[in-house]
Order: sequence, then C-alpha cells, then structure tokens
Amino acid sequence: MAAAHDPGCGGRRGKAVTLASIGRMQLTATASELLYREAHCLDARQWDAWLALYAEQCEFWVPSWKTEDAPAGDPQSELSLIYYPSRAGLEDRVWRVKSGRSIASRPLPRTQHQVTNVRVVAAIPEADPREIRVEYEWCVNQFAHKIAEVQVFFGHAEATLVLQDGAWRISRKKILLLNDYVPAKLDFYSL
Amino acid sequence: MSALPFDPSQYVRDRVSEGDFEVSRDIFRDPGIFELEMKHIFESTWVFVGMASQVPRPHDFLTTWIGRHPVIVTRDAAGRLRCLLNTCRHRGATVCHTRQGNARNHTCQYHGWVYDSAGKCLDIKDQSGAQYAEPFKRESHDLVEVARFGEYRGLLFASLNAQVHALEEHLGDARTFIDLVVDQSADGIELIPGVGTYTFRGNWKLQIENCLDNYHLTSTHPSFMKIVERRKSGVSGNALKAIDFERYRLPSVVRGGFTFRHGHAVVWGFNPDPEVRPLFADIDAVRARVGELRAKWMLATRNLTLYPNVQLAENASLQLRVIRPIAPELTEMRIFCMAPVGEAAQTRAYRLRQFEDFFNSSGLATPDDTQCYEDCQTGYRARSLSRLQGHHRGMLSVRRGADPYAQELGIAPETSQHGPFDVQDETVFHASYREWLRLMTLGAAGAGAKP
Repeated sequence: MAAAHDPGCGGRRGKAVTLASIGRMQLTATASELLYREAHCLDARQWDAWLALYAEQCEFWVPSWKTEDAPAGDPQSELSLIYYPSRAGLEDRVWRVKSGRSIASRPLPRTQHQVTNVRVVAAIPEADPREIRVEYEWCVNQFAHKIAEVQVFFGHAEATLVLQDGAWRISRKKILLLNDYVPAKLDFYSL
Repeated sequence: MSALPFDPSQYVRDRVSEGDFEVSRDIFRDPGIFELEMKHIFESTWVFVGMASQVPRPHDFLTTWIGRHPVIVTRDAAGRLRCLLNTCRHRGATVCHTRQGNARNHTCQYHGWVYDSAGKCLDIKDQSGAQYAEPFKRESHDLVEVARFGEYRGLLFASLNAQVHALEEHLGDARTFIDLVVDQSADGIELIPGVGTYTFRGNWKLQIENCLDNYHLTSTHPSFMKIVERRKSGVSGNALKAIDFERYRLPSVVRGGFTFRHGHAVVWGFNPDPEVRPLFADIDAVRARVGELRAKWMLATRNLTLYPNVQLAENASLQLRVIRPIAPELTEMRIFCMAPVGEAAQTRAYRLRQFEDFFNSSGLATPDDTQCYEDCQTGYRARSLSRLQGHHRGMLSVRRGADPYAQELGIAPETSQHGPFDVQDETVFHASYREWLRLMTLGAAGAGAKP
C-alpha cells in the first residue's frame, strides 16, 4: 500500500481540550460537511450542484492497479481508471448522464454513498486555513436495475479542499478503488 | 443442447453463396455448447497467454488461463519461456498465487513440494520416509508443460493440443496487422503499467463481434460522438482529442475489412484525422523507418481480432484486450494500454488520456458497448427464437480473396470488403463462425484441431 494511504492519527495526541484540538475538530467538521454534501448530491442526482463543489482547476484521479498490492502512482506514465487535470472532464461526464444518450447510464443505478473516518492531515496556513487536506474512507452501495443486483464499490480517498469566494471547494481528489474487478461499467456517480 | 449427438452445423449455417449466413442464438446461451467450446476451441487451438515483455527477466512469471486451465507463463533460469499448468502434481493446489512476480522456486503451500522456475520438481517434502511404491517413483513429478508454446513478435500463445498447426500458420496473414502494431517503434511496443479488469454478463462471442462491428458506432456511442463534437466546438472545456466517428462517414474516407483463416479478422479505415493519433508525433521517423505505405496503415484505424481470445484495437490510442470466457453468460476482460517503446513522456500521457476516455470500463465508450452485450444476453433468454439477422450486411459487397488494399499490403485474406461507411459490413464476423464450426466439428469427431 502506498505510504500516502497510511491512516493519519490527527487529533489523538493530546487528551486535554486545547484551542488546537478545537480547531482541528472544526476543520474535520468543515471537511466532513463538504464530503457529505457531495455524497448527497450524487445520490440525489443533483449533478450541477455536485460539479459546483469542485474548483475549476481540480485534479480528479482514480488510479488503476499495477499488481495486487500496488496502485498506479503516476497518472502521466501509468494507467488510471479516470484521470482529469481539470473539472472539464467531469463536466463531460455530467453532460453525458444528463443527455440521456448513454446506454450505460440508463436507467441509472440507485446509489448510496457513505463517507467515514474523515481525517484532516494538513491545514494551510494553520492559523487561518485556506486549504485543508483530508483522507477518508468511502463505500458506495448501488442497485443495478437491469440485472437486479446489489453492487458495492469501496476504497480510500484523499481530497484537498480550498476556500474560494467564501466557500470550500474540492481542488484535488484521488479515489483509490479497492475492488477494481468492475461489474461491466463504472462511472463517477458510483465512486 | 438436445440429447442427440452434437451437430455443430445446426448452429452455424454458412450459405453466403445464397446470400445468407445463420448463427444460432443457442451458441450464446447453451451451457452444454459452452463446455464444448472450452474443450474444442479454447483448449484445442492457440490462445494468447501474455506478452514476453511482461516476463523480461529470469524467474519472472505471470498467471493466466487456457480455457478452464490455470497456467503459469514463466521464464526459467536460462531465460527460456515456458507455459506450465498451475497445479501441483501432488494434490492439485495452484503453486503461483499472484498475477505476476519473480520467483526462483514455487513451493506448493499445501504439502510443500518445490518446483523451480522451469517447473522441475526439486523437492518432495519428507520423501525419504514416505514409503512410496514403484508406480509413484516411475512418474515425473514436474509441473506439466502445455503441449505447445510459441511467440510471435513478443505475443505469447499456447495450446493444450499437441496436434495443433504451427503458430505461424495459425496467425497467417493476420501477422501483418500484428507487425503494424509492433513496428510502431524501432524497439517494439510495451504494455503501460496498470490493468483494467471487468466482467460482463454476456457470452464471449459478443466481444469477438463488437470489436469488428462498425454498424453499432452511431447508435451505441451517440453520447461519445456528441462529447467529441462539444470538445471540438469548445462547448466542452476538455481539450482532449479523440476519434471522431462522424468524420469516418465522409465519402472520401476509405474503410474496409479482411478475414483470415482460423477465425482472425480486422476492420480498418484510413484516418481522416491522423494528427489525433499519439503515433503522429513521431510520424516522420516512422515513415523513414517503415516507408510511406506502412506508415499510412499504422495511422489507419485498425481493430484486429486474433481468434479466439485477443484483440488489438487502435482507434486513437492502442488497446490490448484479453477475453476469458467464464460461463455462457459471463466473460472476464483484461485490458492494457500499449505504446511504442521510447515514446516521449508528453505523448505517453496523451495516449493514456485517450485510452481512459474511450476504452476503460470507466470510460465514455466501452461501458455503452458492454451494456449492449448484457442486453443481448437478456434477449437470448427468448429460447423459442434461434435465428439472428445480424450477420448479413455487406453480403453483396464482400469478395473472396484480396482486394486492392490487401494487394498493397501483400496479404492474401480469405475475404476482403471495402466501400462507403454506410455498408457497415457484418460479413467480417463470418471468419470467427467458420472457425467455430471447423473446430467444433473436429472436436465432435474426436479429431482434435488440425490444419
């Protein structure tokens, strides 16, 4: 497993309630709230609201796996399941779903996104953060209508959140899909 | 399948002289026929097992399948490639447990028998006190080597059938289309790290057909075509260039297909936008090295099926697809992005983006194909219906032997077809069904696959 996916242990050091720990709890709450909102947008199929949670210059990366143990580490020289250097790639996908022209997305599966274990790993600058880096765990249950099957996707994720015009947005997201034996098809709404 | 003796000619009726070619839906759904396909096709003819470049060093190995048989492709201490059944001689456990790796020895985890990277049995645990009798002592305890193993330009093939014809003869003039891939750099091609694996709830022959199917493009991929249009017009902010099927409909675009003996076939089209191809970045050097004609064919869109389990699809990026049938209604796919060795970093990244955009199971085109396969398989549950009307387009335009495009390549295909996009030929599928019929007939007669 890549070192970048080692679970952080932020917040566990000091037992006393300090200003720093309160600050960290607030950051965790801020990050969690954004990630929960994102999950809800996907489940509620509020595609434009989902896109609006991303900064225009966001990197969106879902690595492939090279072996049983090693995910791809460099999207420029190794295969990804999805890689976009900006939001435009996600906008293509949203257009595709909304167009109703994609056979693979019609009917859409009913999805349920779960986000857990949100860990703030960095806040920049610490005194008055305008960027938060988080790691979290995710799981999507979905029901595929045509084959009447429950499908589960799960994995780790990293996200960078930035404060833009008074709102927090996602400026980088790396989603590591752990069960990359894909039942036929996989799109953004299942991650 | 009925209880009567199996008669393959009931399921594929080749009557092109009368303008008809009939493929029964039963061969997509019948469990008994599927078992016979595994035995008489996948375990009788040559199947693709990997690339030599995946196992470059002594003791490198990869694991894969020949039909239902788990196998190891291994490079021994002397550097020789071998293909072995991945099953311990003792009680049968697999001895290699990962997709690939490097190991001087393979020790069975169950009772500890040890094999070297050539499959030779080095140790039977506690043999001295075993009280083995003569019949056991007389036997070889080495891992079983498959009957035939061969390489063509870095592509590795194996067969469980000692009587199978030579690999060169099996591939025939389809080799020309392998060469058009391998020769894209002076140093050959490589698999980019990272693999895509997915399954579909459909019969493996749906994948064989779709790779050669021009007819589905405009109806299955309208969302992809529209996205390409939106990118070109700037409505989409995504600047990635991709294949534009709409441009292949121009009357000036020449396209066609060839079929070969032993089930192989290719569809091709001269590229109206060769500059979108990653290869185009190096095209001057390529032309100087391979000549104008072959460079033109390298830039052409080419989808090649090497029957029965591997496809090389080159539209913008270049894909290696490996097909593994698991059940009549379940198929596993492994896909790799291929690239010329030594490609510039920027071009490599561009190639990856095109691959992910189109070919991935998480891309914008393949999922629509895959969904259609599953819909076909669901439709095949209409057991009372046998006939398909899907192998008839182009019947009046296909010809026996070489057309001028085959002649310029110096190949002798079984059939050639070229013409306007609107033909969207389906006779190119016939090769795979003719080979199906040949192998299943040989198998039913108990003859094994022979030339």
